[in-house]
Formats: sequence, structure tokens, C-alpha cells
Amino acid sequence: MNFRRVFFVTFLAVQILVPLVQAFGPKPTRFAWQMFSGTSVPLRVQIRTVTEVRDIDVSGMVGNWRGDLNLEKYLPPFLCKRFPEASSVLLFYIESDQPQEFPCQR
Amino acid sequence: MSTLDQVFNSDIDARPVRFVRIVIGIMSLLRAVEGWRIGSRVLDPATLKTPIIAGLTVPAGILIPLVGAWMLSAVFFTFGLRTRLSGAVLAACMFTMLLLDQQLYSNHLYLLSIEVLLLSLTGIGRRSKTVPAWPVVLLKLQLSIVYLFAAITKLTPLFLSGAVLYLNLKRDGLFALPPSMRTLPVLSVLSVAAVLTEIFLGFGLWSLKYRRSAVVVGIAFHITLTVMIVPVVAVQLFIFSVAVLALYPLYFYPMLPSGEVSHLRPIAGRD
Repeated sequence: MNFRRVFFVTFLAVQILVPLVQAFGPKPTRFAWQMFSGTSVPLRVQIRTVTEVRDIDVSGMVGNWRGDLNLEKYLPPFLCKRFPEASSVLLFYIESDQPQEFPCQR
Repeated sequence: MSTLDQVFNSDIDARPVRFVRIVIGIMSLLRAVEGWRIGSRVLDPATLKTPIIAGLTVPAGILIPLVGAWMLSAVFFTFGLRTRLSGAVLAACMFTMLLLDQQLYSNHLYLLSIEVLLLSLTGIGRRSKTVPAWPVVLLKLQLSIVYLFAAITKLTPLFLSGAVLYLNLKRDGLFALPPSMRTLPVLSVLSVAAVLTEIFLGFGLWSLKYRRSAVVVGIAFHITLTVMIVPVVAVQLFIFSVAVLALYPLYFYPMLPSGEVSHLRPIAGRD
């Protein structure tokens, strides 16, 4: 088979289908040209301890903050490890005043 | 002869492709420096890891050889030395960076990687008079894909409300919108305008009638966005804008039957 033709068609198929499929999922996401289409990262982060609930500035803990990071999966376990006193992590998103709470697995 | 046959049996003037290669090569080199800066922070053992491939976290030690190979291949590529090989290595380095961690992904790096890959397939060297048209056609199609999906994915209540622009436009300094204009109704109008502009650019660059207008609109659009965005993302947007604008000259050079060598001049829109 002609490499050029196979590459041409495959390249176009990938470049069209990947963003097309991603367009129907949660935004923003990678490899889909979703620039400035929104954000999926929390606007505010807190930890809950026995005695208090306090804000945590995670800017120094995240090497490169991007709106498409899957922080819901990775940030709570990270913070639970970083702050042994935490019983849960609370993430506030733009869509709601109520946080999502992630208990620390100890 | 079908359109696809025509594409595969045609060449294109090497001059605009050489221009694109040089610009993209320089941008890739600059991006290597940024890659080092960001990569050092992301791969620092103390910071959060967000792997793209579940469970795959890489040691910080990978950064030096990766960025080193990246910079070296970018220099070779920019100067048109062994373009197929240097371009392949450069594209591989950039694609690797994209896959190391979610935090290392960026749309402009993805676009640069694709452009380098396609440019390397042209095999454009320092003395090339023409190059195969098919990778150049893919570059142009890629640009339309970028514009159109960028527009489509902005068709959300959040973006169209003006909220995303509100969060991402400068609040003070040069080129900041005055406070009286930093209102959601105004920003909503600007958001809609941005979407319509991207749709226009996605199609307009292919049009003989609207091509020149599309170039003017595109340049204005990218410059405006770059100077008005918050500084923390301005560098990324600058690289992205240059990577996009560098492709515009390609639309002004027609395909020629392979083997036809002539004193080539850009022809307005005949493609």
C-alpha cells in the first residue's frame, strides 16, 4: 500500500475523529483544540481536620496549573498524604457553591 | 484525476514551506526552554503528578536528555539540515513531552509537534525548489481543523456568557479592557465574536474571494488575543499564534504537477 495515501487518510481521520469524540465529553480536554472552552479544575481547595476546615493554597504544589487537569482523581490523595491531619479534601467548582468532598483513605 | 490523486501528484513551491520550517523551528527551540522550565517543576518529586497514562510517572532525570535532544534537533531543523531526521527527532521529543504528564500538555506544543512532523515529511532542505504538496495540504487542513474545533468547543453557556474571557483577560496594564467594558454583556459579545472569527478563519483561508480578508482578520485576532490575555498564559498564546500565522503563506502558493519547475511566484488564491 502507498505509505503517503495511508498516512494522509489516517492522519486526517485521527485529527478529525479525536476532537469530534472529545467535543461531546466533559470539557476541557486534551488533543481536541479546546482552548479557553472552560475549566474543570477547582477554584478553591480546603482540607477538613478534626478541629477545622481550612483553605489550602495548592498553587505551589502543582507544577503547571491547567484547566484540563484531572485534579479530582489526583489531588485528594496527594493532599491527604501531604497533610496527615486531614480527614477529607473539599474541592469547590465554578458550577456550585457546594464542594465535592473526598475522604482520605487511611 | 481525482482531487486526492492531484494532491499526491503535485508539488508546491518550497519558499513558503521553508519560511514555515524556519519559524516553526525557532518556535520549537524557544518552546524547549519553556519545556525545561515547566518540566523541572512538574517532574519535581515534591509536586503533584497527573499522569496521562495511568500509573506512568517518569523520573526528573529524563528531562535533561529529552530537552537536549529537543534543542539540538530544533537547531538542525531550523537550518534545514537533514530535515526528515531532525524533524522526526524533534517531533518525537515534543510528542514525548506531551505524554509525560497532563500538566505538560499544551495545545501549542501539540500543534508545533504536528507541524514539525508534517514539515519533516516534505523533506524540505536548504536547496529545495519544490516539495511534495500532500504534507502541505495536510498542514492547511490541520489549521482549519484547529480553528473549527476551537470554535465548536466554545459553544458552551460558560464561554458564551463571557465568564471565561472575564477570568482570562488582563485586568490592568497596557491593552487591558477598561473596567466599564469588563462586564459580562460586553464580554459575551466578544466571546461570540471570537467564535465567529474562528469559524470564518477555518473556511476563509481556503477561499479565493475571502483569503486576503481572512489573513488580515487572523493576524488581528491573534495579536489582540495575545496582548490582552493574562500574562501567565501570554507566552503560550504567543507561540500558538506564531505557529498558526506561519502557515498563512501556504495558502497563496498553488499546487503544480510534479516535476514542473518554473520561476514560481505566489498566485492569489489559485489552488
